[in-house]
Amino acid sequence: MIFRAIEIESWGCFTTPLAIGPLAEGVNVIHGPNATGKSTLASALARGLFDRHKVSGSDAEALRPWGRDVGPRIAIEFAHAGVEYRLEKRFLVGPSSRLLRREGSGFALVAEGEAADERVRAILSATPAGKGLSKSSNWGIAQVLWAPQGELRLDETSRDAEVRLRDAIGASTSSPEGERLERRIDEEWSKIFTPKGQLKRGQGASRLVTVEADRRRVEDELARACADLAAFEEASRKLEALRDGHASLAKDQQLTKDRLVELRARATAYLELVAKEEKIASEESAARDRAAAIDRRVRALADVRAKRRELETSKGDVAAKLPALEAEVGARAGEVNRLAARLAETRAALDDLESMRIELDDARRFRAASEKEATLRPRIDRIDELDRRIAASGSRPSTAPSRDELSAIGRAAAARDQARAVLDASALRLEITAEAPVEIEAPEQRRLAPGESVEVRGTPEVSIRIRGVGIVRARGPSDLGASPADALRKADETLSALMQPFGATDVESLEKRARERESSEATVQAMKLERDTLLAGSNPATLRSELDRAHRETVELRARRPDWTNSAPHVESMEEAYTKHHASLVPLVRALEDEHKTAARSHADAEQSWFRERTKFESLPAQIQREIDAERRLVDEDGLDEAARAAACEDAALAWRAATAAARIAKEERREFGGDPAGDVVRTEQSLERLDDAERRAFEAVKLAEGALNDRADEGAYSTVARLEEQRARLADDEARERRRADALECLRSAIAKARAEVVDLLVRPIRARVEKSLPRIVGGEIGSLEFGADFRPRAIRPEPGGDAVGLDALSGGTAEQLHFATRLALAEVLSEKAREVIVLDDPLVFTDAERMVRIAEVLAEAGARCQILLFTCHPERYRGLPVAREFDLAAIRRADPAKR
Amino acid sequence: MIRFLHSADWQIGMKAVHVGTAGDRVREARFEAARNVIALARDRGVDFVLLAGDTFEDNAVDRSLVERVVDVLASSPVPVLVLPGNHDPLVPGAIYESRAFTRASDRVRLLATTEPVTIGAATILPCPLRTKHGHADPTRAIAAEPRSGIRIGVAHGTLRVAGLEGDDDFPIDADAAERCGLDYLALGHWHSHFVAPGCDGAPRIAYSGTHEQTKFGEGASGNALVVTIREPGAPPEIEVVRTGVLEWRQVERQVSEAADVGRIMWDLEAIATPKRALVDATLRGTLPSADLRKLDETRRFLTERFLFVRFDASAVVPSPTDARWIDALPPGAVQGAARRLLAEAAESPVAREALTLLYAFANEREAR
Repeated sequence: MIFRAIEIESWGCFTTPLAIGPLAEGVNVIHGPNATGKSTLASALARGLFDRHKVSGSDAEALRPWGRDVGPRIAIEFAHAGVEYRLEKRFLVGPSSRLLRREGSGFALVAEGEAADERVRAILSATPAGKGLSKSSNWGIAQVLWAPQGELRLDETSRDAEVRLRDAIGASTSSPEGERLERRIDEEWSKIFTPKGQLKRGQGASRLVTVEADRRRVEDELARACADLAAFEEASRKLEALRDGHASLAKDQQLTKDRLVELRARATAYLELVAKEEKIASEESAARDRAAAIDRRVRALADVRAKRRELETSKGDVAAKLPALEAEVGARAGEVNRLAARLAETRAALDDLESMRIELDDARRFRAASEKEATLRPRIDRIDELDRRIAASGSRPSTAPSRDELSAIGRAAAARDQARAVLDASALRLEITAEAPVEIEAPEQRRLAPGESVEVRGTPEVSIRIRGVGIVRARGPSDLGASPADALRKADETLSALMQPFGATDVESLEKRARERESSEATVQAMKLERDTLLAGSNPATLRSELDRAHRETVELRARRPDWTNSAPHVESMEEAYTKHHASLVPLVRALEDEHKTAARSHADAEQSWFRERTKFESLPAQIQREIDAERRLVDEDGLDEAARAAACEDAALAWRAATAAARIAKEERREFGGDPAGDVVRTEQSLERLDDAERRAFEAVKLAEGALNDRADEGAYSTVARLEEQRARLADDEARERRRADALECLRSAIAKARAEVVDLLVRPIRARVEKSLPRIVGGEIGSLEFGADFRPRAIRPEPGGDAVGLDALSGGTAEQLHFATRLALAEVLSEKAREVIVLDDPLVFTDAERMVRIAEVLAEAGARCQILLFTCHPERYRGLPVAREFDLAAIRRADPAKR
Repeated sequence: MIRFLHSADWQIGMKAVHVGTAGDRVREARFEAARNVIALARDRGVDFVLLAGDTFEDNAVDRSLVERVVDVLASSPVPVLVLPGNHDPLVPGAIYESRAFTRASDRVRLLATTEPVTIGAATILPCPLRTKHGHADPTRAIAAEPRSGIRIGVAHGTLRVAGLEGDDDFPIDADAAERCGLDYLALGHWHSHFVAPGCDGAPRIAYSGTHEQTKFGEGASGNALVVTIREPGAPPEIEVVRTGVLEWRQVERQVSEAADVGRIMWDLEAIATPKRALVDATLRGTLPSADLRKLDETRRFLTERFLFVRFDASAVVPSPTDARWIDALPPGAVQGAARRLLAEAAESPVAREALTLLYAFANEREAR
């Protein structure tokens, strides 16, 4: 289909009729500045061809010129399949549609109303629009051939457009029956898979999923049943072990019972043996006692008799010894008495020696006290004198300054002298030297002879009154000398304050007084040193006390020894006499005392010997009588004579030996029997008790385990496992079958997709070939190979042969725009191979530079030879290079519109 | 003379994983066959029935099954001697300790020990099993004594016969009958009937096989043995009598055209009691793609007719040279896909399945 002419009225910005035509079969450039209605016109073409004339709604309302209640109208003349048509449509107000066909020089009505709409759609392979304005997807082939402003890129390809393209290319990926089959396969596939190819789960899940879930559920149940079966077998093993344990215990129990019976019998036998042994031992003991009693009596009689004989012998011996012992006692006593007398004499001489020692001690004390008295008295007297002199020197008040005070006074005097000198230096001096005799009246009366001078000093002024002359006055500054005078006054005051306590007026006298005071203090210091030396660390009171004690001792000793009053004793001679006497007397006394002690001890020993023998001698008759009585008692007790007693003794000994032999045999018999089995009996009884308890518990455990096992056995776990395994097998078969079916469907789809891809490649090849030819011309260089989808849209570009394909996003804005432009042209050319088709491009190349525009013009010119091109643009100069283009200046056409004028 | 019935491996309560939904029926058939054994005992007037182990599949089978078995055994007019086998060993919790079994009539006797049992002229020497697995010859429990009277051993295990080595559970020496001085050693464990001659050439050792076939591929099963021993040392006379009620049929066919598939149906038509028959059909070969649907038809036919059908046609591939139906497909992607799948079909079961599916979809309209 190609356009011949267009008329439009009451449409958007076109309030008045506008006609464009006749259009060229090649390139038509419809241009004008902005807002001259280019896009409105391009849009009106689509609306007129594809929208129902009765279309309504807000979108349709927008077709009207703003603020006018008129019906937009359009008339399009076009050629299709060798027939010239005219379509007239009016929208909104009095909507109408008429399709006319050229017959001769005029047009004859073909259809009107909805029939006309439908007829046009059939011509264009378009589909009915919905309620509002039609969408580009309803435009049929025009969907790919018409590019509204800013929509050069083909975002989708409608099914109708694809079919037309495939028809035009002469190849097809499918057919109605093929599509039915694909839909059928998709339908089956989508029962199993989600659109993303995942198995459908949840509500509407595929049978494969439900069977798989059932199989898993059964497997879970089976696992539990297997666990039950294993538990049954484990319980069986446990019961077997328990039964074995119980049987073992029962066996041990029986063995222990048997052993206990045996042990109890042995214990009884043992007790009998012990009783027998004890009885024989008792008999043996009695026999031994009897034999011992007779033997003791025989021995006792022999002892008594021997003792009596011994006592009688002893009595004779003692009687013979007693006289000699008495004589020795007397001799010893005489010796003791002699030595005692001599010792008494010697001890009397010792009293004299003691008197000598006492007198010697007195003499020593007397001499020491006399010497002390003689020494202490002059020391005490000297100390008293020194104390008096020190006291006297301390009682005189001192008017002399100390060294520090004197030093301070000196510094104050120096400061005063300094202040005075400063004052003197700052004073005004007025000197008058008389040339003739003058009389000075003030400051002091004085006369000056010629040549004589007088000087007056003072501050801040000085004056001299000269009689008959007047007053000569000199003035300094008003405060001249004020500060030095103050300093001098303060220095005077300081000095006076320091000297006033000493009542002195000059420093020299004070210095003299100070020197005197230092001399006096040195003397006192020397006396104190002497006094301390005399005291020697003591004090006067102590010294006086010592002197008193010494004096009292000499007085007392003189009173006791009057001869010492006139002449002091001679201690050394007295010591000599005492030492000599002592050396001769004391050893003698000690020797006598030792001798006397020895003699006294010998005497005592002799007396004890004599007394012991005497006592013994006196006691022996009674002892002899006791032995005689004892012998009589022993003989009287058994009433036997010696022979009979000897025979009885022998019989008893024989009986004892027989009893001893019997006891030994009994003991051996018991030893051979072994230990007392009583302990073993007790232990075995305890052991049996434990075994009874263990056996009872084991029996109970067996019964419990049997109960538990029976319960498990009643569950019939194996039958459950069998049933579940069969279920699982069936489900696994079902699942495998379903999976095979799912895999087969997937495989089938995949095979179809691959086959379609091959067919698509065949389909898109002419498009791709054209684009791959035109695009390098436009961009001025190689761009690589292109990939197209089954919907004829470019998808990717492969810059290098065999390299990776990249998305179209990688292209620059201009190149991408030119690619889509070339694609649209290629589609139009392919569709125009059988009959010329129109391609409508509304301001398509906004990113393309001038250089490429030149090349595009060439491409357009070539395309114009095969298809009609309607190019709406506000840049007509870009297409001026097109030699075959027919231009329509929209602005000029509108200006020519009488209504606009 | 003594005559008895030798049976074994009833495997009551066994799993039937391999027969799909027919498991219950297969299990039920074993009861039917058990009743046949007892009926046979009654018919032949035997002195006793000897069950040589594995009467039950497991000690943990449902106790209701035990009660049903006991009912069957108790209906026997003669004593039934039951030996515990490796599937139902005499362990704590064993079936033979269950109330159902212990309350059975006196005719049902458990051979719980190796204590000899005398019935009529025969002395039965049992070798009961007390574990599921073992490597000792159970017949070692029989004391080797000189023959006096008719001595019949009964044991459960694997006879060590050259060329028939199976598992090594409870191996039984081939000379066990001679070693133990037995006239006959009745064995259980093998599911197929088997007789081993003794040193004297007489059939001294025999497996009765299971009384009802348990799975496909078991030959000589579904029988019981009627054994007659006329006097000590005399050769036992063994009669094999059918007791099974199910038929297990295996079919393997090479196919190359639709008619081959049809012939399988004809072959199986010969089975008189199809609802008591289980069929395992395995097909191999190639079929024209258009005939692939014949396989499904056959599967459906067999499944409806027989108790159970395992129909494995996974090894049947579409004929690679037959593309007539593909040519008839609409040109374009679908046809291209079909050709692609046909090329892969020989190697890929999924491609074969996909091709079959496509064929089905393509023929839906015709079918409608």
